[in-house]
Amino acid sequence: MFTRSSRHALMLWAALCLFYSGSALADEAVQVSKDAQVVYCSVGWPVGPEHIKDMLQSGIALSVVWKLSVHRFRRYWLDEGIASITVARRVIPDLLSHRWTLEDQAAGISRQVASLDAAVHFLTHLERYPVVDRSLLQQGERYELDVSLQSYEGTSMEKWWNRILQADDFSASASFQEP
Amino acid sequence: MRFDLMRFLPLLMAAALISLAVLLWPDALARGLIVVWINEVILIVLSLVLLQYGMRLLLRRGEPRAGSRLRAKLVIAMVGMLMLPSLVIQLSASQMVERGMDVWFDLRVDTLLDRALKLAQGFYDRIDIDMKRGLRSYVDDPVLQQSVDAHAAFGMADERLLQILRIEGWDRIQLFDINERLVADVRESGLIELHSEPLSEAAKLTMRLGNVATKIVAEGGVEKAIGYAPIPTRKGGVGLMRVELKLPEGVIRSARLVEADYQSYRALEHNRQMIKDLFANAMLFVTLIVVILASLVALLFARRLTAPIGELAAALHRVTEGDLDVAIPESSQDELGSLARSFNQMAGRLKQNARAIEQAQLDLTEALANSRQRQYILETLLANLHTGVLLVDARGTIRLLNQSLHDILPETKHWLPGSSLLENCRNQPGFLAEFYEQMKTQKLSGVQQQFELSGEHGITHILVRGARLKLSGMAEFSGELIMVDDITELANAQRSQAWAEVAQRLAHEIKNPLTPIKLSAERLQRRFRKQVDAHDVFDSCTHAIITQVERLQRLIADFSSLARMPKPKISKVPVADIMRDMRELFNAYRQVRISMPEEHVDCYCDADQVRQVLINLLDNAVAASAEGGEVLLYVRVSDEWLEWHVEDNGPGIPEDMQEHVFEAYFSTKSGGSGLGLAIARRIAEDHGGQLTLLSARQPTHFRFRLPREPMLLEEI
Repeated sequence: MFTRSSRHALMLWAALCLFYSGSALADEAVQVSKDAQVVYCSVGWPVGPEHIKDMLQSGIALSVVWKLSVHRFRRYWLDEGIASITVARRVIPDLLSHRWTLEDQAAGISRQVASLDAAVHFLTHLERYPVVDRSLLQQGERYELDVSLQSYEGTSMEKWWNRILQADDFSASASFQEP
Repeated sequence: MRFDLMRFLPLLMAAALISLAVLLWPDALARGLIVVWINEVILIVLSLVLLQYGMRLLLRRGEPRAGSRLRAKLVIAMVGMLMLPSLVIQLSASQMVERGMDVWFDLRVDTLLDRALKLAQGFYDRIDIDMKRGLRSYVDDPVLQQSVDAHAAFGMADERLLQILRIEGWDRIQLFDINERLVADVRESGLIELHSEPLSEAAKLTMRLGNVATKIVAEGGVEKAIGYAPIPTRKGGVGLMRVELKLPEGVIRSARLVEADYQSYRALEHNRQMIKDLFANAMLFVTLIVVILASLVALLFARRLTAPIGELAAALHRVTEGDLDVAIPESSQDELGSLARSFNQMAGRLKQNARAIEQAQLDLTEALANSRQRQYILETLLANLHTGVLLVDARGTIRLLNQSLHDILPETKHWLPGSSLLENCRNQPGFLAEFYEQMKTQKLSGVQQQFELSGEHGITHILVRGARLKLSGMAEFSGELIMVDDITELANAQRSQAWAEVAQRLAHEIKNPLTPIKLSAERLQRRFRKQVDAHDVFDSCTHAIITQVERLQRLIADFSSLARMPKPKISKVPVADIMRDMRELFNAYRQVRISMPEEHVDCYCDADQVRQVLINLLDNAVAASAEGGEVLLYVRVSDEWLEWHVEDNGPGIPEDMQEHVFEAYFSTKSGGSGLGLAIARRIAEDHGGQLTLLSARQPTHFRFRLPREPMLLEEI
């Protein structure tokens, strides 16, 4: 019914549709909010918590690296990078005491919680996280906020090649306009 | 077109490696394994190398380099031999790992670790429960409630805390008032000095929420259980009791080990697939490294092995193209070395043979050049030879003849080499056929014969000589060589010479007695004329004697002139002077008309001898045209010749005598000596000129001509 070339074209079209639909789903996970000085980002990793819970309950430490970057959209040239933030978080389980140590490596803060859901939420969500100072933004311009996430088991995050070799587990973007 | 697998093999191998790389492309689990990526890089690099080599092989025109096919086959065979066991080992090892992991992650191990962990957790749970129960029991303790109030007595609190410490078995109890100030701090050893410390977040949370809370803190390898209990006051404030319990080190160490083992086990279990991937990729990495190393070693080995073969093939190619200055190294002592030695010997012999052939070719070329040179010389010689040459082979076929033969015998002009002599001689000249037959019949080595041929220009004397040829050896040839000479002039010269000798002898013998005879006759006439009666008879007789003697003397003088003609004394003489002399001499003869030249012309000659020639010619003409005829003498001048023409309209010369008019002692006149024209021709020839009878009658026309250039005369 279809020739070989037409089959290839259909497959390419379907792949593109899937890619863009995936992007659209991911984009809904990113929300941009602002106050007078700062632009904030709220994002959640749309992954089932059971898998993470299972791993944490098995005593396996988990780490995530969030990468947030803001670009100024330029139609006929490469986008201009405005800001780039890396947030590294780790949860270390203590199976004997049923407590979870939450570490924010960027801030250097560590605390223990007894709730597994809190540990999972700590890994999978950024709540109103400050991204960029609005003084760096130009009025009337449109900006893109790209968010990506890489997850690691144990301490493998510290291996330099993982940053190069490992693909993103999650990526999303959102755009916002400066008034 | 035959499918050449060897040519496509690198491309096929590249395709296989690319397929393997795609097949082994890491999934999400294996992406963190660097060995996977190393394997991918190796596979891709190998496939690119093979692809580049394969494309080069495919696009190459002409024959591949000598020995390259053999080298490729050797490498493929060696790598193939290595790859097969490597694959088997890889598969076996993968199976072993699979089985081993099934054993490692056995259900019993799993259950055992779960139980161990639960046991350890039970210890911690028990500590937690006991501490919380104890803390809850002291929340409403009145002593403690008073103590955390601002106005309580410190002494009562210390005693109560020591009591609790002993009851619960805790290691330390701290009491904070509603303002979070440390009001009591007791340990097993007793009271200690109070040092105000800020409360932790957990403590503050406990005070705020009013819940009992515990936590485990590890400090310097020692774990402590810390508990917080809110102490409400009667006034509505909340104090805080903080307790510490140092956990037993042995138990804690064991519990932590159990936890660590459990974590490791679960991590391994969780990464089971990744471990298998790691192992498989590690094996693949080793296999690839081994294959690459083996390929390099095989390549080196094959190069060393095929290098002599390649050199031999290249040398053979050069020999095929004609380059015999080729030698290959004979380094090794094995069969290849022997082959190289044999090849070098063969090339050496080929070179010697080629040199010999080249030398022979040079000799042949030189011989051919010499032969051509000789042929050219022979042809030139034959062309310039006045002797006619005719070469006839044993079958009577003409092989060679020259231009002089055609000149001497005009009948032979149509003869060609390759034609039969006897066939050609059917018409003319027949004497050659007779001569040839005679030579063949008599089988003489040399024959010579003289022939007289009558033709338009008179009788021609032909001398024919023959020689038998018989060459043996490579160029075997037998035949007859016939040489033809026109000896007419020679015969005439010989005849003239003979006549000159006769005349000289006659003159010598006759001249001497003539003078006494004449003198005697004159004496007789003078002394005895008066004594005789018959004067008439006497006078007649003596006059006859004297007249005849004088005639004889003149005859003798002519003989002498012919025999001893002096050499001409050449000088520059105006022709008009000679013509003027002739006019004076023959002025008496009315029939003689002499035309003077219109322009001044000089003649390089002996004037006396020229006058004698003209006198002889005019004498003859006058004698021939005595009866009312006319004699003309005139001069013609050309670039080369000066000509005197004498014509008369007398009866002319009979046809049969025309040939002999220039011969000595030939005369048509009754009183002539027959020497006039002979002497005239002799003089003409001595001057390098000619005396020719142009017309025998009506008019009888003689032409006497001399060359105009004095040089020619000097050369005579």
